[in-house]
Amino acid sequence: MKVLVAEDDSLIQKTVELKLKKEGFEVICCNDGKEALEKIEEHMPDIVLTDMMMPYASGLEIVAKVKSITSKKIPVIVFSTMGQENIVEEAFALGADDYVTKPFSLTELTIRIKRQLKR
Amino acid sequence: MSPKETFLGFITAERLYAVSIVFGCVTALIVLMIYTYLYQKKRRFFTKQKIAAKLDEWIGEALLDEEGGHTYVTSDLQEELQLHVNRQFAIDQLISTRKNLTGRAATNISRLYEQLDLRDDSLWKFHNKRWDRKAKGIYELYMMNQLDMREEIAAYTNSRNEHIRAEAQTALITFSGFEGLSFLDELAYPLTDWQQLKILEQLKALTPQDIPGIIRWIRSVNEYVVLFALRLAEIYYQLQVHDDVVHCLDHPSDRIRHQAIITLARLANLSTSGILMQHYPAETQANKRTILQQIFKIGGDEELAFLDAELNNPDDLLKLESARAIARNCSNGFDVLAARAQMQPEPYLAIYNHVKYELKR
Repeated sequence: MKVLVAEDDSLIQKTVELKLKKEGFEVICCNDGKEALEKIEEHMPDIVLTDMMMPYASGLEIVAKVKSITSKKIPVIVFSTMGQENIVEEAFALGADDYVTKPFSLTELTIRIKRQLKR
Repeated sequence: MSPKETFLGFITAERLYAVSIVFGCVTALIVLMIYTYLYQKKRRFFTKQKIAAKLDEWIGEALLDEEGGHTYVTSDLQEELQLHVNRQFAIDQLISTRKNLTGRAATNISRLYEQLDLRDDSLWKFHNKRWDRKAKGIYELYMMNQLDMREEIAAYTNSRNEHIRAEAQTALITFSGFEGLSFLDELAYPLTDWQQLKILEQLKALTPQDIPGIIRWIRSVNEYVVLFALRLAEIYYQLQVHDDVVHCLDHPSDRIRHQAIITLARLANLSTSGILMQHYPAETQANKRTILQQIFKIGGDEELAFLDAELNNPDDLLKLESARAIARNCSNGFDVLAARAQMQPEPYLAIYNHVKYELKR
């Protein structure tokens, strides 16, 4: 299973990557929104995890991009922070499937990914 | 010297050459300095990136350690961490990650911080005489949950320096939650609005509970403490302070009376509207408005006579607030306003229509 992680905080990105690799996922990492938009088309991941605030393209643009793909149904989980409820709401309106509020637990994140993939 | 050789009798060819040479040298020096600065900046950036890549990989793996034991540090990384700038970078990375992760990984962050002796760096800052270093040291220690430092940090919650004081106060709340508010007992300096907001935001993440010291703080001689205690009473619904809040309605500070009005309305009982109406005549225009806004929330038919009289107040804003309260709380409120509008259309018709639109929306 391919997971695309779009997160501009390098340490969070690395920690999530290592955790997911440990769980047996293939992980594609992106440091900014633009790179994520390119890699989504290139790799067609099974699930996308995206931060909301990133350089060049926001999480909302990524959600919109993923949901515009008709050939494959790709679930999207967004990372938000406290006080970003309105942005999360917008992400859901665009078709996001779930969200995780920072600070989050890696175990919780893995559970949410697996649940989305089961669906 | 002939007029051809001079300009205005001052600028000679020799002088012009000399100035050109000086100007050329200064320009060359500036260009060299800019180049050196940019080169150093670029070098620092690439070094940082190199360290970041190594650290991220290592820290990432260490954070996933389920056992929580000692993590092996490669000699390569150990060497990198000899440099102060790299150690600071590692601390910053750990703090930033701690803000984003909870659970086992967050516990492992503090463990790594101690294992890499980064705590020593924070302690050095904490014991430094420079205020900016001390404040940063406190910040790092509480972000890394160094509970054993609680007492030492607590000594700075009443520091003369506002930055040190603010960090120490935040540290205490991080370590002890609501109990950390005990610093308010001794606080002799201002508690800025920004700091109050920061503390309230921190408390928001905790389970609400009774706040034992709140009565002492409401009676404090420090106006900032009183104001903050009133805010706490409002947010955490501290009914036990009702009578003390009533006393605050006679406080010399406008801001405290303003907050006391709001807090009292939150802790309202049957006598609250009466108390507010009693204090109304002596209040400032702004506080009068606040009282009417609170009566709007808690009032009933009993306040009709008072509110009706306030419709005659020369201040249009007070007229409007009174009309709102009448329309919302009194059983025949809209009829009262309609009758007034018919009797004297200017300005009551506009007020009536405004309130009708607002409340019946």
